[in-house]
Amino acid sequence: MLRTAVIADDHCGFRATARLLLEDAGFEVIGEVADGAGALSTVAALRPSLLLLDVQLPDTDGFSVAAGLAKTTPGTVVVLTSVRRAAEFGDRLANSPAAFIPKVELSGDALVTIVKGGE
Amino acid sequence: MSARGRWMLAVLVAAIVTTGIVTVLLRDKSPLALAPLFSAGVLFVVAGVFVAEHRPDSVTPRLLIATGLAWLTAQALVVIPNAVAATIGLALLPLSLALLAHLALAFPSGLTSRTERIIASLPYALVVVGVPVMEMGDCADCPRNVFGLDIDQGLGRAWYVGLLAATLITAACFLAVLVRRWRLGSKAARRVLLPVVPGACLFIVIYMVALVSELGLPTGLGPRWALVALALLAVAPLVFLAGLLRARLARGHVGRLVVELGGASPAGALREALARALGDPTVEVAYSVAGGRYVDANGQPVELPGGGGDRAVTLIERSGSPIGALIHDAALGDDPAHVDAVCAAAGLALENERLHAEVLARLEEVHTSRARIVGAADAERRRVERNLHDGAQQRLVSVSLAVGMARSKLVSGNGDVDGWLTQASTEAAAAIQELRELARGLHPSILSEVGLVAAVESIADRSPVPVIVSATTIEALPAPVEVAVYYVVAEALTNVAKYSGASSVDVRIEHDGDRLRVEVADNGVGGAKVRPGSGLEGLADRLAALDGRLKVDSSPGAGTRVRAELPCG
Repeated sequence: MLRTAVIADDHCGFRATARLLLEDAGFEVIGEVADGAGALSTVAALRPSLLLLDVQLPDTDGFSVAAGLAKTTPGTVVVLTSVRRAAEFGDRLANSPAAFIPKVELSGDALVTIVKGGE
Repeated sequence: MSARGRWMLAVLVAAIVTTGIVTVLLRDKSPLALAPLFSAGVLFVVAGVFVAEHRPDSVTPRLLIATGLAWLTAQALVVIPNAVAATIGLALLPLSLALLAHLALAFPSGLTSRTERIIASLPYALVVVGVPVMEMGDCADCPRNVFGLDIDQGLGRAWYVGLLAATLITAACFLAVLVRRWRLGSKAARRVLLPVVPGACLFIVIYMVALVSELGLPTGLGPRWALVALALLAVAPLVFLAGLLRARLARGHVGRLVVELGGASPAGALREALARALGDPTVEVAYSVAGGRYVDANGQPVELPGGGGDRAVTLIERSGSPIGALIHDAALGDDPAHVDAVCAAAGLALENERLHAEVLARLEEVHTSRARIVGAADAERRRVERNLHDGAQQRLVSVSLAVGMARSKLVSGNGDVDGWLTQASTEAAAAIQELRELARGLHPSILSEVGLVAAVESIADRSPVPVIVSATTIEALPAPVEVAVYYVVAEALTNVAKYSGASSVDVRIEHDGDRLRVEVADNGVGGAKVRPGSGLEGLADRLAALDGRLKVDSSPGAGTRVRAELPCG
């Protein structure tokens, strides 16, 4: 089946790289947004297989967005990502329903594995 | 006693003696019987001369003397067997009472409102209105009032009753003003008012009852009450004297103040001593410090009250320059000479305490500016950290990902290796650009590369508003001074671009021996201020740390002129 993805990150350079990476892994990137509110509305409208979600967003943080989406659109697999390492987020990450991959370790294979696990 | 005072006294004594002789000669009575009438008048005049000596600026002595002279002249005139003279004398008797009423209302420092001036003028009007119904007495050969009406019948009766009623109302007005003044008076004010106002109120009440009984209404007033009223009138000058002396005595001795301030005194002791010397426990001392501000003995800012309230301000000068201000009860304003004497006596102690307060105020300033500088440094670090995270680090992550992808494509031999390497190169270039901008914000390295003037010109080149830079020859400057000047220009030009709406800016830098001055002046809307937390405040702190000063002149509509001056020797 065709897997779809949305990227939520306020940094356009990173969004461009992430799009190439996702497309290379066989995803169709159907949306790019720069903040938390955009992520919520776009995911609700498009129901992608994957949301690649930056932890630091200009209006809110990725944890709140992930917690909200876990209730409204459980069909979308949310993967949090950040330039910071997992240890820097402590409990907030442990309590989040979303998976986490540091930005430097992002790869198409890892994302495909997580999305397959969620299907 | 001054020469002027002696002259005045001599003239008055001559006038009194002449009046006395005329009175005795023309009156068919022994001098002894006339003594009480005569001495009351003399007492007024003497009291007036005495007060004039100490309070020449006050209206009180003039009214005291006028009252006494009117009274004495009346006594003399009414016995002259001539109708015109007697009529004038008859009119002078109530006139002396009107002057006395004016005196009570104007005590101690004059009439203070329009209402008071109107009320004080009423008795004079009554004197004029009362002329047709003045009566000498029942003696057959007494001189007659030339305008006389018979007060027992017809028009005369109606006129007389109307006059009594109007007098009653006027007396009530006086009573109301005096009672109100007493009730609203502060402790210091009542100390001044003490014998005069209650005494005057008592007299007015008795006088009003007497008027009511003259109108034929029952009052139960016995002849003894009339005696009390007369006695009060006779001692009135003493009451006024006592009022003025009391105020001064209660205010303590200036000499004692000097002794009290002789030794070293703890902070606040000076205020206590001044409070005792002035007789005003509420007195506050404010010291003048740099920047036209006032602080208390502990260096805390003090706001001077505006005029018109119940607090008044006396500025204290020493060697011609202001060192502070006393904030005191407005009632002390009736004796400015005493306040000045106290300030003069306390001069050296005030100067000492002012220096102490100034040091405390400076310390406080250093304390808060140090906290602001630390806060600004922390905020700057946070900004740099966020900038690195959001900028260069994101770019480098992208570079790393793209290079990783290119390598895996290269290994597998299929895929767009070139596209990934292009992506990596683009992101790396962007990272370099962002790092360069961040570094320039941390320290203007351009200063050490091209010098102050060229660095300032490079900021001017980036300004959207045209800038003209002029500078004198600038010799080698300490690095912190150069950096400060650079930031003054940078911040001022940023503000010009953001807020001023100006069409041109002049930047002038002058190096004059051991001072460096920089000025940024625009022709925009003005209204700029050094607000807490603003860039200008940060500049002011930076300059203060270098013993420099920042000044912002920016009236609305008149452009903004930011000036900095700092030592560079």
